[in-house]
Amino acid sequence: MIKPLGKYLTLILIAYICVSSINLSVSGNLPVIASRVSEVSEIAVITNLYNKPNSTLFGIGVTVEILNRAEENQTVVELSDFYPKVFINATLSNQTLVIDPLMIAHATIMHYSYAPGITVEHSYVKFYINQSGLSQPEDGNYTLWRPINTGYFVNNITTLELPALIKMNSGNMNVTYIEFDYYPTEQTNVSFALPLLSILLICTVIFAIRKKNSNKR
Amino acid sequence: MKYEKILSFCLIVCIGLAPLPDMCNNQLKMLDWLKCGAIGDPVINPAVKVGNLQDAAYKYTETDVIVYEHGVTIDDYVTVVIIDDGLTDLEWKALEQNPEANVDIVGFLTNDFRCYNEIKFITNPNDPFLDNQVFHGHGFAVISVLASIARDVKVIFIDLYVENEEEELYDPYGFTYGQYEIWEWIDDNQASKDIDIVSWSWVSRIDFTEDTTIHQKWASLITKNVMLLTAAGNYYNYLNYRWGYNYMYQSYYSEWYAVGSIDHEDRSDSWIHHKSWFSSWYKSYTTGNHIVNWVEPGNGIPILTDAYYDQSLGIYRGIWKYGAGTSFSTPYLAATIALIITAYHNGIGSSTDPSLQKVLDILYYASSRSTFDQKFGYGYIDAYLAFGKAYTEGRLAR
Repeated sequence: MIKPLGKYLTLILIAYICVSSINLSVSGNLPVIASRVSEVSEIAVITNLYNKPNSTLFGIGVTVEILNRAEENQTVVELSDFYPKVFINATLSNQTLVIDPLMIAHATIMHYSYAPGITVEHSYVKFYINQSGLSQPEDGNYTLWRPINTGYFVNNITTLELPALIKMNSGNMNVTYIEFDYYPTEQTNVSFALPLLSILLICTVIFAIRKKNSNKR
Repeated sequence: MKYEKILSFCLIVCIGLAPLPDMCNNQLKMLDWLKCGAIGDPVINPAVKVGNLQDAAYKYTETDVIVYEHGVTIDDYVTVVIIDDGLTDLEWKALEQNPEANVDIVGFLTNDFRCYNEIKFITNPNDPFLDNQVFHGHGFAVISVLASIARDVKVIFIDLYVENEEEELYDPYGFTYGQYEIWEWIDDNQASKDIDIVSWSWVSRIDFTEDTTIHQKWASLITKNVMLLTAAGNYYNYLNYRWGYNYMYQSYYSEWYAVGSIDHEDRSDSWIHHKSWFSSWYKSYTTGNHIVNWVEPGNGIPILTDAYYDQSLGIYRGIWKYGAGTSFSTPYLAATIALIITAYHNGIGSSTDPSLQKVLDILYYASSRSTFDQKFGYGYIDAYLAFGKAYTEGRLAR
């Protein structure tokens, strides 16, 4: 009666340690809060309110998803409140041209709360290219992303910002979106080192105890 | 038997420890919130905390001694210009009628985009032009910090055009960031409006060096003894390469005095633990003009939010909450300078203003540091010392 119980207990213990150590090695790297650019509109030339004669002003509508993986609301801390909340950067084919995004911010620490699951928000990003009279955005690679929880050192909430990558080629726009279930290898690599080490340790202990017991007999 | 006992014990220990990481995490979070959670929370008993300046944010600089114990209010010859996002009619009225502390909004300056550069100076909070403010709230909070210390001070609000977050949502009017006409108007109206201080808590990537005419206006204002104050920027925002761009605060330019925040209650996370957490020098100050001239309380300071009409009292008011950032340290210093100018007026017995150099000398005299520090500048201002010194200087100038 006692011996089968011992076997069952051993199996349960090994299973428990394996599962919990695998969990530890995977979930420990998943960011709690992640932002993702999920949709962008066509980049359009818009009215140049700012009267910059040597530049063309462009606008792009952006939809962002913010994922809260936790089971409860998460409050993020932003060191400054930026308008718009989505950032843009680009490497243009014509290297004499640069983009200059319109952005404004106040120096106030802001706290925002996100419910579990996905929250959707919209932004409208404007940027100049330093050449007048352009009818379409310059060829090149554009990146849009939504910074989040810039005050991470205050709340220790881990974050990830997944950009949308836009490739412009002769007016044709090719957008690559990154899904939340995509993670760079180094961040989600499931490590079996810990479970294997655990099993090795347990086996060593069991072997040592059994050896000791058999010696006694 | 012994073997089974050991196994059972291990299993019980494992199951018992299973929720421990989560529990520890929650406990740590709770401790964090005890330190930082007050930011954004309502101020308990604002009549005492703000009305009588008994909050630590005021007592730290002895502002309570001057404003509450001695009952000093700002005289009619001091005007502060606040440049910020917007102000609704409700916020305007709340700033003038709030029972704990209030100011006198003498005007709202904006720029109508529908007719490019048509500048409007609105003096009536019921003007329908104010109905369309989309971006507002930050300016309301900034002016409320001014109100809490510089009671009754005259304020001119300058409305900035804020970029729309969504296509259909935008401010219909306001000045673009760094627009020349802002400075032209302030310079032209400095004497008639008795403008003494400009306080600015916004940032953009505008490079003012492109437009020398703006610098000329700044220089002109300085010769008229106008003090230009700007937020130094929060942790590593100031003139730092961030997300691909440098974000230039006005403090990059020598005409402006930059105000950082001092963590007067050590609310910051313990591993950071230094009183100038918000100051933009933080980790890297090896490049650029990373200067903080002074620091004032800014991590947990009462600000007004959510303007409303209080039917029981028949007045407009707001809800005091704790805010954080150099946005609020800047009007704090502006309010202290307003007290200095009032004290000087009292001493000299007229509305003659002290020179800008005189104001600077008084600030240095009442600073917590006698030498400049990259993180703290000259430290924070002891309002009691500053007020006494300004009064004495006024008396000596009679």
